[in-house]
Amino acid sequence: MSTVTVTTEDIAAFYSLEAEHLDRADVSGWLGLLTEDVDYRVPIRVVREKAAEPAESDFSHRGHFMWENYGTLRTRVLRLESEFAWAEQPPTRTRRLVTNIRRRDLLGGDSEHDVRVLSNFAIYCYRGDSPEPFVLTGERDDLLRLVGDDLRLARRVVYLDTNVLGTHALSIFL
Amino acid sequence: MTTHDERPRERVDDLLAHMGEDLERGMVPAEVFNDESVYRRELRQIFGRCWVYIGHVSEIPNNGDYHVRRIGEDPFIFVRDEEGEIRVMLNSCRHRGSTVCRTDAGNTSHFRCPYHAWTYKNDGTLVGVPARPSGYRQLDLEQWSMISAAQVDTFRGLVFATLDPDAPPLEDYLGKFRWYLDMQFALTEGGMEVIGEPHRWYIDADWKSGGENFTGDSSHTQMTHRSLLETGIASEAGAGKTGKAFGLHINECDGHAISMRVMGEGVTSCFNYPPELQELFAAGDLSEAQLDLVRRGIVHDGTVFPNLSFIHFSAKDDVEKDETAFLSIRTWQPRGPGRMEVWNWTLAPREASPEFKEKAYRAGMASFSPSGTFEQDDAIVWTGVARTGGTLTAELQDLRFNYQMGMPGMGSAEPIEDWPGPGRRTPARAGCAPSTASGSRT
Repeated sequence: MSTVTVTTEDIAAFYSLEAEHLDRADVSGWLGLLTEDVDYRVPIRVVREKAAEPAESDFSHRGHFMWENYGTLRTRVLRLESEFAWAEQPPTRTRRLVTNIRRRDLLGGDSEHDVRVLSNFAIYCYRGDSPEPFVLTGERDDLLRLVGDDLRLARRVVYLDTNVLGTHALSIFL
Repeated sequence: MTTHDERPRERVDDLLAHMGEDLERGMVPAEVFNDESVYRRELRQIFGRCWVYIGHVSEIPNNGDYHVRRIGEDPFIFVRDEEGEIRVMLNSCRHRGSTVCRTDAGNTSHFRCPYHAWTYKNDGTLVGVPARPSGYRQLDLEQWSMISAAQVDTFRGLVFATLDPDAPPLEDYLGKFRWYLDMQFALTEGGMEVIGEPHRWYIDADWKSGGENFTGDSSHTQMTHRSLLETGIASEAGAGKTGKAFGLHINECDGHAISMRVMGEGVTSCFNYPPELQELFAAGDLSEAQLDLVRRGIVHDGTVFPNLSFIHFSAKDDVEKDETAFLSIRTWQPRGPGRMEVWNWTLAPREASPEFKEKAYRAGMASFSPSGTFEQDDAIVWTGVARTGGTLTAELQDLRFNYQMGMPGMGSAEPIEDWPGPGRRTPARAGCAPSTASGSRT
């Protein structure tokens, strides 16, 4: 059980700050909100029969849209900061909405500094001159860590609602 | 999507009739990349007749394992039945056509329709009709099995199917190109294994753009993927810079094509596979000539007509670390004029350690997948092709795209005579040999 003193307001403020960095295409700013041992995954959803005993997850154990650590995320940021990263040149205009913030019992991590949080998200993405946004929704299962006075993201699993991506690239961070 | 009413049939007939001549001049009509009538004909004449890739044997290791896949737009169940036989069956109940399988994947001994509960064994045999004693007394169950694709066959673990009962055998269809496929899929005795589930995503671009790019577009790397060269995420050798490595395009190989970048004679790169796996390659059943191209391999990328492409390569997910070898295969599936759904699988040698397979997967995912640092920019540049192809202007101006690079008079490359494999081959010095035009002709 987590013993760290972190309020719901602190958590919500962290998510708002994270969204602000990413919606302003400030990817290095976002990188600064992660711990150096961050584990970040977006597993592929596989639509299966609803089992009587939920033995099989709805998500692949090995197949991922993203499977990152600090080094690989930093590498992605390096590329995004190039003027030749065409998928984000010009940048996608995004708007992240994060809601349904719920604290949960820890699964691993350090009980004195870590807190596990589930949240829902909707990211609206605008590209080119299309008036219609592309929308991604899902749930995140995060481990937030208190580092000094600040929260940092130590672990994230993103559970997308879709099994097929309706857009030509996953060039943004979820 | 087209921006105007469907083009007159006669115009499309005319375009297609003159396409051979156009290709001789290195021209391709823009409209073929986004036209309702061309699309409908492709579904029928290409996806209705060719051998189309369904999945890999390693995706259905156990009896009853199934995945739902497509031939063209048609949904098929790819399943291993209780006898271990591979089946490819239309995802439809024989009764009234309701969809039998509404999931992506799973394992089952039987398929049961939710409408009237007609039940089939996983080999498609109809075994249960609830109203039979009172309403279907003369129904011969054997006549009402699930519909199979006309032919199903496997080559080096790759399962293909065709809707055409008169299609030549798979072996003949792949023809001499099997020599190149061996190098990708039969490196070791155990062959390759798919890791995880496929990535699936939509691109507003024509299905032909993907396959064409993977057969031999050496000159796009420097610009499309420039962000990777600048940051050191991709190496110069892989990207097309000359030096110790050289490139070549191979086409006119029974309808399929491949592009390779290899090190000079006697230099081993072997896609950066670790030594313990390289040793296994030598013990497999590739010929010396094939092994030589594997040992010197930096990248092999190609397309099996119509829409199965592969790239055997090595990439970094972390700019500070080394590259890891992987094999990515993908199908560019037709989803309407100017629109495709891509399915991507990452493979590694079956005998590789779990640690290597994980590294290979992450390297493939980091470079060639929807979030892939290479793939993201490819998708962007192809969308414009479909957009232009769909314009009224393209029709009014008889717009042709330029495929003249490397053609006689344009190119300095001479065909390579001394070559141990099949097909016509030309060197590519970060340039397109006349492969694309001939590839398109095929």
